[in-house]
Amino acid sequence: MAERRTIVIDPVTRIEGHSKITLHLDEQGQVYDAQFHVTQFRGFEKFCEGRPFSEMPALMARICGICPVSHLIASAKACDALLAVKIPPTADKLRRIFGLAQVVQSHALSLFHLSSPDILLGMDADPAKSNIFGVLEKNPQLAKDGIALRKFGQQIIERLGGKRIHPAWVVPGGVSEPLSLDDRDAILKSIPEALAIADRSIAWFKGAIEGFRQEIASFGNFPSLFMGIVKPDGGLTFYDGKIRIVDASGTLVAKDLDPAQYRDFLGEKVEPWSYLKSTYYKPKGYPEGIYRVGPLARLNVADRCGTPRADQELAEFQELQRTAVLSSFHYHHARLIEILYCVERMEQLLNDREILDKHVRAVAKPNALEGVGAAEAPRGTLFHHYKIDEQGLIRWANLIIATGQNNLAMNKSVLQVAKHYVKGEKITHGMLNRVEAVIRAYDPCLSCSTHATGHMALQVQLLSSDGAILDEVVRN
Amino acid sequence: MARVLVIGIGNPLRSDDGLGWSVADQLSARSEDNLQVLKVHQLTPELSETLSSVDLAILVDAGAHGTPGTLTCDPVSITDADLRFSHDVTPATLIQMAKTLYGKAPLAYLVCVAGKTFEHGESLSPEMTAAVPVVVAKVRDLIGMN
Repeated sequence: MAERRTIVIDPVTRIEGHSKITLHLDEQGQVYDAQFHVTQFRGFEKFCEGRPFSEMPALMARICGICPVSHLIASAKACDALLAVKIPPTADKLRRIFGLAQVVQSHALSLFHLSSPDILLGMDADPAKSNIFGVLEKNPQLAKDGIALRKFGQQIIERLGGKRIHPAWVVPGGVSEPLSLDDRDAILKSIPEALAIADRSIAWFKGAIEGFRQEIASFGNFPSLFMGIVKPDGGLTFYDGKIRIVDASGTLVAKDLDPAQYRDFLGEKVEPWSYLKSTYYKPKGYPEGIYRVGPLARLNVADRCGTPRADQELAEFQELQRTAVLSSFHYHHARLIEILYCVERMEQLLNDREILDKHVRAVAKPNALEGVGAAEAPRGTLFHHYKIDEQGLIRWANLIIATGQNNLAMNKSVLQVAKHYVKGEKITHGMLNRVEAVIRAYDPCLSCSTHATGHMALQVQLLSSDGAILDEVVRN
Repeated sequence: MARVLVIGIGNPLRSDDGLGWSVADQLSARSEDNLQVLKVHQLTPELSETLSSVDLAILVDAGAHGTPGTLTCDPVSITDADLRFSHDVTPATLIQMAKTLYGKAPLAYLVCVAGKTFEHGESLSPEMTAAVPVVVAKVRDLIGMN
C-alpha cells in the first residue's frame, strides 16, 4: 500500500551554516510540503545583555565570518543613534567603502565558490565533479576571477580595518583611523582589474543562463514583495536611506519607510521546526506578507544604480521581465551587477576630495536609551536595535537578519523546486541538487561560526510515515 | 634563496587552537627577507595564489586527536586534495589549487601538534606551551633542509 514518506536533505551543502531540508511525499510520491530547517542556535541577542554598548560593534561582528562588516556597520549605526551624533562626512564615506568591499568579497564567495559549479557544470553534473576542481578544469579563468575578486574585497577590508576577519575599525561615532594616502592609492590601483573581472563575469553569466530556462521558471519564481533600502533619489545603496517595498508587478507598496520604525511594518514569526525566525510585512499579515531581500530585491526596488556600467547592466536586467524580476535564480545575476556597482562606487568615493580627511570620529556620551541601525548586508537588509540603561549597558537587543527575511521565500522556493523535480521513489543527484541550489541562490548565511562547513556530507533519507528508513543516500 | 611561507592556522581565542599563531609570532619576531609569515583562522582559496609564489610552505596547526603535545610533520600531498569545498579548504586542496590555477605548487609540510583543550581561552595548555619552541625549531629545520 502506498504511504506518505519524507525525504530529508541533511545537511544542505555549499551554503554558510547548518541546515536541512525535509520534503514530504504523498501517497502518489508527489511532493506536497517542504521545510527548510535551520538547525544551529547562536543566541547573540541574549548574551550581549549587560555589556557596555560601546562593545557592541566588535561583539556583533563575531556573528559571522563572512559578513562581519555588515554587522559592524549596522551595530555602529545603532550606537550612533544612542550617542545621537552625526558622524563626520569622511567617516560616512569610509564606512561606505568598507561595506562595499565586503559585498564584493561576499558575493564573489557565493557566486564563484559555492554556486558556479551548478551554473558552469550543470545541475545534473557528476557530484564528484561538481565542485571547485570541476570549475578549475572547465574554466580556470572563472575560478581565478572568483579568487581575485574575493581577494580584492578582503584586501580593502584589511587595509581599512587592519584585518580581514572581524576588524573593529568601525566604532560608535565613526571609524577609529583615517585612510592613508598610500592605502587610498593602492586600492585605486586595484580597481581596473576588479572592473574587468566584473565585466567578464557578467558576460559569462549571461551566456551561461541560456541553458537554465527550466530552472529560471521553477526556482522561486512566484509573486512576492521585495524590500530594500534606497537613496533619497531611489538609487541603490548599501549604507543608508529609506526603505522601499514593491510588489510582484513592480508597483510601489510602500516608500520612505524609516528603518528605525521597522517594528511598525515588519513582524517576526517563530515556527517550531526551525531556529530561524520568519519575517513578514505586517500590513499583509502572515504568511501573505512574504517578501524577499538581497540582491534581487535591491535591484527590483531601486530606480538606478548610480554608476555608469552598473546602470547599463541594470537596464538590461530590468528587461528580463516586464514586472519585478521574480525568479530567485536571478539572484546570481543581480549579485554580479552589484559587484560591478560596488567597484565603480568605491572608485568614486576614493576619489572624493574629503576621503583623506583626518576627522573621522564624533565623540559623545549616550544621549538616547534606544537606537536602531540598518544597512544593506550582502544578503539583504540588516537591522540592529538596542536599548541601554543610564550606565550605557545593553538591556535588550534585537537583530533582524537578511536570511530570516528570506525564510518564507526560501521555503516556498524549495517547495516549488521539489514539486517540479522530485517525483516518485527514485532519488537522483540532479533532483536533490536543484533543491539545494535554490537555497544557494539566496546565499543564506546561517552563520559560519563552526569549522564544519566544507566537510559536510549529504545525507538523504526516505522515511515512511511511521519514521522507518525506506531508502538512504549518503554522499561522502 | 628559496622563498618560504609559514602559515599559522587557528583561533587564539580557543586555547590550544592558538598554537599556529604563537609559532607564527615567534617566527615573525626575526625579520628575514625570504620568509613570509601569515596567521589565519582557516585556510581559504585566496591563499592558493600566495602559495604559488613560494618554494616551500609550512603550515602549522593544532590537532584535535592524539596525545597532547605530540608533534607530527607530514608532507602535503596533492593526491590527498579534498574535492568537497566551501569557504575553507584543506592544505592538500590549496596546494592542488595553486598548481592548477597558477601553474606552481610549493613543496609543503603540515606541522601539527595534538592539543589538550579547545575551550574558550587565550592561553595554551602546558603541553602546548612546551611544544611551541619545538615547533619553531622544526620549522627552522625544514627551512634549512630545503
